[in-house]
Amino acid sequence: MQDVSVVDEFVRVSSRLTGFDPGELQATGMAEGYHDLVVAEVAERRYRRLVVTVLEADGDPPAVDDPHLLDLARAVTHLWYVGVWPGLPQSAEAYVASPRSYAQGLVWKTFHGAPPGTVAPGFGSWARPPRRAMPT
Amino acid sequence: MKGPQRYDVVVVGAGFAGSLVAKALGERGWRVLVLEAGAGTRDAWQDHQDAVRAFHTAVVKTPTAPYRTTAAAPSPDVLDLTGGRDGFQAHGYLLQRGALPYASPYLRVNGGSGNAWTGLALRMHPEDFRAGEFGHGRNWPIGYADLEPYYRLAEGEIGVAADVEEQRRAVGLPFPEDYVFPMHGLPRSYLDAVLAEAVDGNHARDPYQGQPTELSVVGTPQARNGPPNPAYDHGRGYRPDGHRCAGYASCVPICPEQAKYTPMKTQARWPATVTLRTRAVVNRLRATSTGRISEICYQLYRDDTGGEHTSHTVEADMVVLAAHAIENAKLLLVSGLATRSDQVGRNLMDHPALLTWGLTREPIGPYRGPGSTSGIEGFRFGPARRRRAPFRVEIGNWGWNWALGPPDRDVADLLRQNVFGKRLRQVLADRIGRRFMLQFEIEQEADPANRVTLAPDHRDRLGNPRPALHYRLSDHVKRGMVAAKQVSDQLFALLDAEDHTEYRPVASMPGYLEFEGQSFCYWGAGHGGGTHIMGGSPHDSVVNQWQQCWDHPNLYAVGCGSMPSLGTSNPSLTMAALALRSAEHLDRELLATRTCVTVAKEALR
Repeated sequence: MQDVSVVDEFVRVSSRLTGFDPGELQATGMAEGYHDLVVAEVAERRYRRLVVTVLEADGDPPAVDDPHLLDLARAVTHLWYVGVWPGLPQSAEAYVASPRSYAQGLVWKTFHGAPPGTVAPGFGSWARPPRRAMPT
Repeated sequence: MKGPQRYDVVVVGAGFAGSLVAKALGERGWRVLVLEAGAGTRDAWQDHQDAVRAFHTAVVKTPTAPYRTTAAAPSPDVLDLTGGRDGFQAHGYLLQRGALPYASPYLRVNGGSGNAWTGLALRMHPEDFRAGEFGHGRNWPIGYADLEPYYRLAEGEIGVAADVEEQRRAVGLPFPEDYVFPMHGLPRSYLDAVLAEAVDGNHARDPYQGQPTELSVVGTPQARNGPPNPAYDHGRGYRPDGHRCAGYASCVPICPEQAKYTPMKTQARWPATVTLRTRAVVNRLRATSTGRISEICYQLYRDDTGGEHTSHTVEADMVVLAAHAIENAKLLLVSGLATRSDQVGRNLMDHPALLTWGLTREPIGPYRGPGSTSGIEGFRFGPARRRRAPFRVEIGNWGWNWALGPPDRDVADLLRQNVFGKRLRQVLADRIGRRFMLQFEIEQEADPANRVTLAPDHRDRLGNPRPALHYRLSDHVKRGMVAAKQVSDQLFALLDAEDHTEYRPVASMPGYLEFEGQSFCYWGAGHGGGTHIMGGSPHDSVVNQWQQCWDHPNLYAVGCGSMPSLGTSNPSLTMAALALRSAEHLDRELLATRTCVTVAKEALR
């Protein structure tokens, strides 16, 4: 059984990076899977350094200056936003984490959209005005 | 000794045209064998589920991404082409030898490109059949009136949703007085409504037109399910095949709920007289000295990645090539057939699509519903087509997807600029939520220099020569681009939209070109045609009005390859109408041969 606190910590880091609340991230159902993917893809020390840096940093977005950590921060954010783990190092091949990760990509949620081919909003739904984007 | 198998009809290719011809002839009792080069089974549901999953998990979601392609029957892909300062480069199955790239993919898989098509089912305009009269391209040997009954047949077979009154009034199409489409027109998108509000009743000028054109946003006929019209078929109504369109917004490349017509629907209705053999690449036809096709040679393979195969032959009274315009031409060339007119492979056409993209003032909700639900029709016809190619304006509901790809790219760009957190979320919301695109599909006229030839030095995994393409765009087409861009500018101004269109010689724009000091880029619409052109004489055309080869009475080449002009409408409905018309002719010819045989046997008694 997965240690819940480890996933929670990953979600808090991800929330700072993505601009989505921990609750919104949990609601995607992807948190545990993404946590496991990230710890499998990168060295433990590097991941711990990202966690500490992001959680200790003030402001939005959190300041991440180390280029090595910045690459990891980008990769984690990219994973949440489009469901794709980018090549890390950049020579490695990018891949879609799972069919669900594509369906839960945050980029679509920014404008209350859905990724093509994943949601059936109903006949004629496209005629309605869109829901307003997130309040600023 | 057992001789080769014999069928009444062999159809080469189980795509849009081939599936329709096979059904029509199978229903008339003829024994039909369909040979499909690509993979796929009759277990359509399992194949479909696999395809949806492949689409969801593809990093780059190209039109071919969902489908199981094989090394033995390679398909061209949009990723095969890259642009750059020194011109374009081609890497894939098609060898490109022209000044410009032929930029459209097609699919060699059961169901063909009809799996991934957009589902827009427009008729050609009556004027489009007489393109040659305007000084560019060729006339058809038949007119709109000859094809009209078959348009109706095709609309019933594939299930078209449209408003007949609107098509009469806004496009000028003649219909029989009591005709209605099988299904009511689909609701237009919110973007269509916003655009209509801004442009309807206004006018746009194009430098080649004497009079400005009145603008009107018009619903597009769709081969996807909507509410059936009870008045259809003289009040007998229509029963849609499958669910109503629920707005998955992925018609290209795949509709998860199968609300869009694909040839798989026609295959599901095939009678038992039709046999499908997939992974069967026809590589040669043999003819007797009188020109009759006596033998169809094909290669069967099993492995998706290798070229190992066995060779087979089959015989048939009638042979129908329905393997895509480029593959049909390839097969005729390899077999040395239909050579009299020297037109096989020539007149290769596509719709070069000029795309323009921008941001509306307020969010419009992109990526919802079918790819396009409306268009602006006024630039498709009229005397201006003497001076520049005509075009159709398609309103694009899916953001900037076609030109620049999905929003993945925006995410990567912003992250590279170290944009994270709430700002990342806000910037994306604002950028993507207001995106729209206009797609100008420009007619390309038949030009004998645009052609498919064979590349004997470049063979595929089965040892068959690959197609080499020689492609260019005429100044007439480029003037169409100039006019389209000017119309686009006026539409953007009326809409008070921010124009973000930029054509550059970069990798993602292999169709970049310059004309009269202006930059343009075209995208391939996937509408390849012209390669076995139809005409009134065996001296300047490959097939007659029935898509029957002049030189080979039992050989038909069907599909967009027969079309002497493409007009400005997406050609699939016209291809379907032509296929159904040819099927009737094939049936008559088959009956005639049988009657002769019977009479001869009687005489011998």
